[in-house]
Amino acid sequence: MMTNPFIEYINNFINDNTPLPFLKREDKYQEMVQALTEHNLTEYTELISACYSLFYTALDYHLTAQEQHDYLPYAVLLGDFISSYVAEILYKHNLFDLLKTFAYSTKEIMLNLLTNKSEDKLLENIITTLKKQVPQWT
Amino acid sequence: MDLATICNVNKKLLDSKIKAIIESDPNLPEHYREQLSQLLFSSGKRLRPIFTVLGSYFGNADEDEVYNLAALFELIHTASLIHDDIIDKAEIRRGKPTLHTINGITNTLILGNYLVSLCCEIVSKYEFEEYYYDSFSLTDLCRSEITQQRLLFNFDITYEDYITKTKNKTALLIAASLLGGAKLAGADEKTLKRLYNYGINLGISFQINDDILDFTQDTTHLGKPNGADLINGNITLPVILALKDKRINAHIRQLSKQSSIADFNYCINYIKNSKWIKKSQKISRKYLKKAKNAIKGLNHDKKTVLIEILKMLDKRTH
Repeated sequence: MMTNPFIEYINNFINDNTPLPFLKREDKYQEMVQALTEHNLTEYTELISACYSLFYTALDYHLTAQEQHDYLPYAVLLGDFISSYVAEILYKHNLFDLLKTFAYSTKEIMLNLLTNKSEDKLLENIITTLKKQVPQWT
Repeated sequence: MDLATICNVNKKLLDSKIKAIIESDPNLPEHYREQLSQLLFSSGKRLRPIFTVLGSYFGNADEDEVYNLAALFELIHTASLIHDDIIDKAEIRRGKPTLHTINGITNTLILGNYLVSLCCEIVSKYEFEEYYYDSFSLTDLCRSEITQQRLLFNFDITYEDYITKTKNKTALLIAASLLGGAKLAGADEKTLKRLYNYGINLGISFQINDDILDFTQDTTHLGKPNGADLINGNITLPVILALKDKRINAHIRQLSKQSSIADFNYCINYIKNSKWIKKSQKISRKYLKKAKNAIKGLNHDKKTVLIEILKMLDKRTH
């Protein structure tokens, strides 16, 4: 994971510009790598796994912001920065369908958090979207 | 005359588009929808969507599409306000309690995120990606805000630092809103460049004015105490200029997070009644002039509207 350029960029930015540690989500990264491999969807493994993992990093900054006291502004801004970075790199790679899936699925995750539900279909929805796209890639 | 009237914006249509997006998700709990509605339909200036509509006049676009995009720019701005209020520990927004004082910090952050994701979903639905993601970078805006955190209570901040911060904080989204509408309408490259430069300079002037009003406007109108920016450690133009003043320099430099409200008020009242307010106004006018120069070569009947806006902003008192 440490060689992933997208995650390295965020890691370095946080280390260079904020007093907060990088909340790495290796578990989510590996979860996505495994799912992509299992479904033989390895075209964009590096990018998609980074986006998936970084989404949870961003969310973790927001979920723990309240505990950061003096560093609360950094936690809020880092969450915003990383989630917009995810959208930006998907857009720059012309992965519009995935961008749509991320938007819809993350909206549902936020909604579930607001209503105390734990359902999270981001991984499932990403795989479904990618499966629909396979013929275009090959 | 207000900005929407000058720009011939159909306020009813704009509001209906904003409302439609907020009401598009039946799963959002009613009390959250109500909170978002209150925030969106209180006394906001609608500056960004008005500029999107204005931008569309420089080409040809379907009105319905333009107002959908305009509504998105208002919603993304509102999402940023929700998070800004948490960062600034603001308790009042547009005369009402801020959302984090009602819902707590975590739920309000999540509600802001919900709004951003909802906007992105609508962007995809209408295939607005080019007009939305290409016009401005939310990532750049956040990156800049993070790096600016180290400038809080830093009284060595330069005029150039302040202008860069102002450009990223306010001007970019205003320019992007204008550009988004113009791109959607298929305006040519030269026009896009001119409108962008106009929007950036107008946006800087607008923010300088906001920073002046933070000192001068009566607190009822402002909805927060005078000098709230300084109390939060945000060093704005009137403060940067006042630091040149030997009679107040040492007092300002002593301010920190731990300072008493009396210490803050001493500096705030001094600045409020000083020549540095007039000097700040002069600099704000300089940027209005730059905005006017940016559209010098523009040949379009709607150019008069752009100039009318500059005149209106020059007289802005709230």
